[in-house]
Amino acid sequence: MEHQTIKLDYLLHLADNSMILGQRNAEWCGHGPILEQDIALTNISLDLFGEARNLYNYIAKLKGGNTTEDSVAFLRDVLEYRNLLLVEQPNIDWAYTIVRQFFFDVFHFYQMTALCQSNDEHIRSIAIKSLKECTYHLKWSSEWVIRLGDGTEVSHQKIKTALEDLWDYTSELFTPSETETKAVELGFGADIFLIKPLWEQKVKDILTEATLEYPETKYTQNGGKTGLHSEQLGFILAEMQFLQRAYPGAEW
Amino acid sequence: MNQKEWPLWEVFIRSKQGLNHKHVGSLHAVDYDMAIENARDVYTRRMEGVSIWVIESNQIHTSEPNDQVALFESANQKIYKHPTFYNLPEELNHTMWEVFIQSKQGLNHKHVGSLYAVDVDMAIETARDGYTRSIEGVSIWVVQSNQIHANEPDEQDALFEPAQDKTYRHPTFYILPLELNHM
Repeated sequence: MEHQTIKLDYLLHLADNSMILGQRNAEWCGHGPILEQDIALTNISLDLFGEARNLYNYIAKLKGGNTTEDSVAFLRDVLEYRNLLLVEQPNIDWAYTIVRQFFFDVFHFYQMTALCQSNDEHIRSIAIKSLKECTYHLKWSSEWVIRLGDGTEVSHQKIKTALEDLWDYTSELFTPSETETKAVELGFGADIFLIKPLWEQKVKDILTEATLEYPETKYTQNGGKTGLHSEQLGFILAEMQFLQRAYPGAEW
Repeated sequence: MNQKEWPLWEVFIRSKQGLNHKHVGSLHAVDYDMAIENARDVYTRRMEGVSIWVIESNQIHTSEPNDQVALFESANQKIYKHPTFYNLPEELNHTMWEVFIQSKQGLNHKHVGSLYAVDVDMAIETARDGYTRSIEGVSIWVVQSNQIHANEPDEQDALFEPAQDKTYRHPTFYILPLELNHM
């Protein structure tokens, strides 16, 4: 793969993670367990969309021609998406939503920290901006993990189940795709091998505080980074892309 | 299902230009950490704040609405009074209280300072003496100082900076269709 192709693929990976998780969180809009948390989660969703937009814009700029942020975001099919399987998993309940967010936030925080050192000026400036938001997201989801884990018997059981279920998707965070490996070699990507011990430590610390056990890895699910997604992504895209597909170029 | 409500918290925000923490509203949260987070998300989305205080609503004591006239009118007459602060011996069990004054009906309660008192009644009395002579107050709130929970200063960046460039949250961001101008 040539340099430009690797960079575009890497940018898609970053942008798709944020957009798909943002879309998932947006499903909570108007359905949050309490008004304050409804707003909190939609704020996070908007932060993620903001980051994704910056990245899609950069992709459009690199590609040139008729490419726009919207065409990159809305006019690709499942196999062309590069997001982690974790972020496309359904909301199910508040515990699943929190655990998914927490796993991603820890990763995202260290990933953006690393990308503040990227040799690509655009990536660097996007990471600097996102890092402030990620810092808050991580605090927010950590506090929730602690409160659900160390809360009532019911909340403990619910988050324990979510933790064990979603754990299968965390190994993908640290299984590098060819693109990620090359992106590190070329100096613009984040090295996930360096992030791994930091992620594990932070997750351990919070789970301990939450009186939850650090799960064991039984099965691992991989493929999102190279376009092999769970059936979930198709449903997300169907909803998200409907308007642009039905009314091409629609604006509001 | 357990229908227990989360406790209610009052939120006070200090804006960039403001010197005082002002009451902005209330919200529900399980504890003060979450109350601060919720306050950030609900009340500082448009760059309103640089500092947040939260106080559990039931910790706030208010001057009796019926006493309002007596409380404030008497102060008007005692023009010989001057704000005097004295250090009291610790043995007296004085605790520190924060005072919030609503200077006019319809305005929000604003933090004006603190004082020492042994109980609520004394705190309200002392607040009346110390803080309502120059400010035409209609309502006093007092709360024990240790009931105020503030955001950590090192969290300021993560709490407030992301709102800076979210211009889409401002009403001026939206360009309305021309037809709407005729409304």
